[in-house]
Amino acid sequence: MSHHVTFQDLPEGGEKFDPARGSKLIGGFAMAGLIGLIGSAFFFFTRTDTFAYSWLFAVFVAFTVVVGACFWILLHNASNSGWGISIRRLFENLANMILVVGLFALPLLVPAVQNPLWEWMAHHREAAHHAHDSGETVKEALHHMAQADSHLHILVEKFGYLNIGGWHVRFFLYFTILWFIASTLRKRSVMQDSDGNIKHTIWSRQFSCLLLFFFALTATFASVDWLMTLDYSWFSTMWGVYIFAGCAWSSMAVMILLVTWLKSLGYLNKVVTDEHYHLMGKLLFAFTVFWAYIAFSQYFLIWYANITEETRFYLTRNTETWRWVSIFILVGHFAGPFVILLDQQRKKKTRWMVGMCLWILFMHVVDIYWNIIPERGPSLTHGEQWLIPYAWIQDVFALLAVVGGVGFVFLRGLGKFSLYPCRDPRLIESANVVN
Amino acid sequence: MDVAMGNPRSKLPWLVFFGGATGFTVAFLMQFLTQVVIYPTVVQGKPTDIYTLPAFFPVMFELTILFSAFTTLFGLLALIGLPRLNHPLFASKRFPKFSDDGFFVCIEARDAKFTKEGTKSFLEGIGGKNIELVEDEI
Repeated sequence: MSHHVTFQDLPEGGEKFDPARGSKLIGGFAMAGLIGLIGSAFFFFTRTDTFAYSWLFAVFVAFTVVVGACFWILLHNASNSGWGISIRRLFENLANMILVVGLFALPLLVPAVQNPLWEWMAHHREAAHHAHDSGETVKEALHHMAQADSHLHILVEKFGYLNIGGWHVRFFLYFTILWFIASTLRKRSVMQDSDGNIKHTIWSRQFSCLLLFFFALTATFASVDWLMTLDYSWFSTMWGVYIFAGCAWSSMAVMILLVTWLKSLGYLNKVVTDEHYHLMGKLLFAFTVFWAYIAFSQYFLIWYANITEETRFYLTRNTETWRWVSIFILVGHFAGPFVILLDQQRKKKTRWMVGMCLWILFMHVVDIYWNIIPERGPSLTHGEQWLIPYAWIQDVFALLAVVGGVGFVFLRGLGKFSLYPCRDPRLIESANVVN
Repeated sequence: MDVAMGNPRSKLPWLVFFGGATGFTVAFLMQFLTQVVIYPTVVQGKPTDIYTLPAFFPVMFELTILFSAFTTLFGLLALIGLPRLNHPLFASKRFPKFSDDGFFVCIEARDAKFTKEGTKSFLEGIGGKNIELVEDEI
């Protein structure tokens, strides 16, 4: 058993990260982001249709990780946990990346990007055009269009939720709410760094309990608005929670990697121990199972009910190449991590956990890819092609741009505050945690 | 406490793992044999072969948990030797404090290094105060 850490052992004012010490990784992210951005800019102007999907995929990967971080700080505060005080600041910083993700998400507001992605928007715009000429409302114009093409009738029915104005309002709401949560909690936490007042802890707890509700709404409806409506006739009631499971999972993996990296640079060594790895590993394991539970439930409900609109999603993903990706996800997203993370001792071994977390992040990216990209071929070629040849290159560039960009800004900004809440009254409890 | 006493890791997780695996297999076989092999049943237009598997999962999941829970409980009881009706230590007047706010060190006679006098002087040597010899009543 190691020495009991007290406030005397810790540097006053906490540990400040010096970006120069982590310049290798930060430079790597900057490089990736730069290459990605150049490639993305090229594809954005030359291949807007296919690239729209790549960009949505890349932005959504970053979005899920940041939303996951937001969830972990909310849960941590709301459940009044003591163990994770040492890593809470890192989650707070990660959650605050929501503004950067929002910046990267701006191209999704361009109509030329929206129309190939969300066909319903193209139909709505066409209806708006007709409405402008004939003087009816957009919904009436849509109704007229549906008389010629019965597939569109569902858009008339869904008009109350699925309309362009509402979509944009919600788009800004998601980012505003998430940013409000992340920045408020970090502001309180940083205030505590200087005065050490327990009031901030209590205030954050109350705030988190209330805001968890709104958080759940943003994560759920963001995934509905951006992903589920890629096919406007498809729907799944498990969708929001399915995406959420991936958010929390990938975010925890990022955290374990980040903590390991910081420890290797000589930070956090007094406040983060093997016990924290074990605790984070347990949560990672829990969400491996939770994701599988939700993913299977979604599949199971659709498979059993066998309703034409619903099965389309899995038919696409169970055909040709995508079938192998589906099987790969089953094994790599669930079975592999499940067996490896099952062992208690392994969760305390940094090497195992780093390997596992890298794998988990990879699988998370594959999962999001598998959710978005299969829509691209059928949507853009009206069902003639499953895949657009060589479009995956655009996906890689988009991913490099967004992940590189967000990663660079995130790591550069780590030095702004202490790496852990240095005067949180329960910091010592966290540093000495045993489970 | 386990680290301080140098206890080895419990074997229970292995029992539970095999208990769970048994539950998983039993649930699969029970459904597969009855629904596919012995009496193929068409439900909801689903095939009557191995591709009916998704329909079996809820039961497989439940039985895995049920069997794991049973092996956890009964495996634990077996490993710690419960239930037993009495234990010689209950005769000691100090023993009840053990379940309240005190520690109780017991060296059993079956311990290879146990001798009646040697153990007593060893415990006194390390500062023991209330040392008593507890003998089985029979």
